[in-house]
Amino acid sequence: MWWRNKTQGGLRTSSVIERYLPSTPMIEYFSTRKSFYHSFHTISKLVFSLSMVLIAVYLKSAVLVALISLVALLVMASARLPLKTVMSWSLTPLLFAVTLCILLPLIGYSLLEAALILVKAVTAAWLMFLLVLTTPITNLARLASKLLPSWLADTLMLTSRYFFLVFDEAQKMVKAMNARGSPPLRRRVMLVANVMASLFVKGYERAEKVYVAMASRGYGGKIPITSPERFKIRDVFFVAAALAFSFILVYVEVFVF
Amino acid sequence: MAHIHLPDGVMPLEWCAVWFVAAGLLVGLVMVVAVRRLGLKQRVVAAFLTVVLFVAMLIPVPSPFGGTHVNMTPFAGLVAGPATSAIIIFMVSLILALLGHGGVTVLGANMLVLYFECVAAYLFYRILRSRFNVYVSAFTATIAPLILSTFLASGMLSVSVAGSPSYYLGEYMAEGVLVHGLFPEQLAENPFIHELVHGYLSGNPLFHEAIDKLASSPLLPWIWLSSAPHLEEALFLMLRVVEASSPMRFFMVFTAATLPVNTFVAVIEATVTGVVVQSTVKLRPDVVVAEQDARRAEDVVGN
Repeated sequence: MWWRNKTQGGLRTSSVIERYLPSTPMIEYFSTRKSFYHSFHTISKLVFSLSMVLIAVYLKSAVLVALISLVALLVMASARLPLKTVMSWSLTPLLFAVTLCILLPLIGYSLLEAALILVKAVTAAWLMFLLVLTTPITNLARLASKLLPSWLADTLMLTSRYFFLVFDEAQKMVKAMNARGSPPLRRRVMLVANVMASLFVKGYERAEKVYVAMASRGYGGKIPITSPERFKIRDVFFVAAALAFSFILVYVEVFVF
Repeated sequence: MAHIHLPDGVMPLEWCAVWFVAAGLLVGLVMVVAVRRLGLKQRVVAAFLTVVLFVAMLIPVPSPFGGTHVNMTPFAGLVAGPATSAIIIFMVSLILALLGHGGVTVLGANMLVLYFECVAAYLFYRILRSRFNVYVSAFTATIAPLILSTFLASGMLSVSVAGSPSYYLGEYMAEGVLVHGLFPEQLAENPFIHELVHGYLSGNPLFHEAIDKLASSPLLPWIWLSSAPHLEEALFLMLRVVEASSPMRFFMVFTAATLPVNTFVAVIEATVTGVVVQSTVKLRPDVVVAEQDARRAEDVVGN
């Protein structure tokens, strides 16, 4: 992918992970790009994404849900996000939703209603991608530290930070395993299991080392996170517009359709 | 995936709230208790464990279907124990939801299913370990919770989706009565409807129950129904919907459809987890909490 060469620190992203969901370098790259949507405060973007997800789940009108999907797509395009890649990531929630939706007609749902659930699942995933790909991880962590207990926010921060390092290690191990040829199925399953065991033990030992490093630097149970973000007047308008749009959609559903 | 990971939109919002509160009470309470017991080191380790499990989930495992992935929740229960695994499950669910891999509104439902797998795996291992070796104990402690969680997820879905006939009642009736123009003659030909007519005339209580459900439906105002030209047809259709949408029926259909595939993938996951736990116990026996607790219990019994 074209953004691989532009990631920081010479880190290479993995093709395996990017097939299913956005990797850490991709999030870092896209979240630091410049666009009108990027310039909004993290809280504004969180309110927009969550309100749209809630409304999309609540609505029963196909037209209105399609309208939210369209809005999500337009905002993603305006934020210069890779739409084609986002579509491929959408296949995972779509697959889970299909598993359920193919059974719904058996209990009285019409095909349209089953299809509507698929659209809702994908739209909700788009809105989450929109939030994550336009907001730096540190800003999300800062918001998490305000909403969650500090120990939980710290754990989340550490998880997001070290995800790529562990993944890179796993990638090397899988490559090494694949380089040894293609044994029968049972043997391959055993090989994968051994790779996972090795990965787990290595990861655990690294965690112990990181704890020692953190403790020696004075970690006492709270990582201080600062951010230059300011909640500006345009954020107030954006949040108001998002909430007003949500109310209008509910009003139209209840009183017009 | 050997378990069901729900996306947004599959459940009505009121049921999302119910599962969210239930998960908050259960997992939240365990997390608060766990944090009091865990030191700073364990919290850092929990963060790494989350990452490792998350990454392990992404490693493709070969299977006759062409490749699958394991979800590692039973493994989390075995290596971290029920307390720490609550933290891990919360973080994994939250991150997956943010990355579009599982819903935001169904976060509570997903957390409950995943946490059940962790706790059940730990308990199964503790029970089995005194009689069997590490591999057999880990294998069984993985496959049993994964199969049981299919029933749990089906049950939660059945109550949430099929237990809300008001969710689609209006559309169904509108389609049947107004769009397709069903008339009494056509309805009477249907043996099911005929039975309902008989039930209606004999004062079947199901009829009254159905009226209550319709009256509470936000989609179909009671006024419309009382003034509808085909009142009886509408009511018969409504009864049919209520019958067809019974949670038990949905549970049977959904479980029957998902259990074979889930069981097959669970066998692969149990094989992998068995080897991983066996190797880990050989290399670092101190990091597998379930093994430590089982050995401690045996020592206590031995003494």
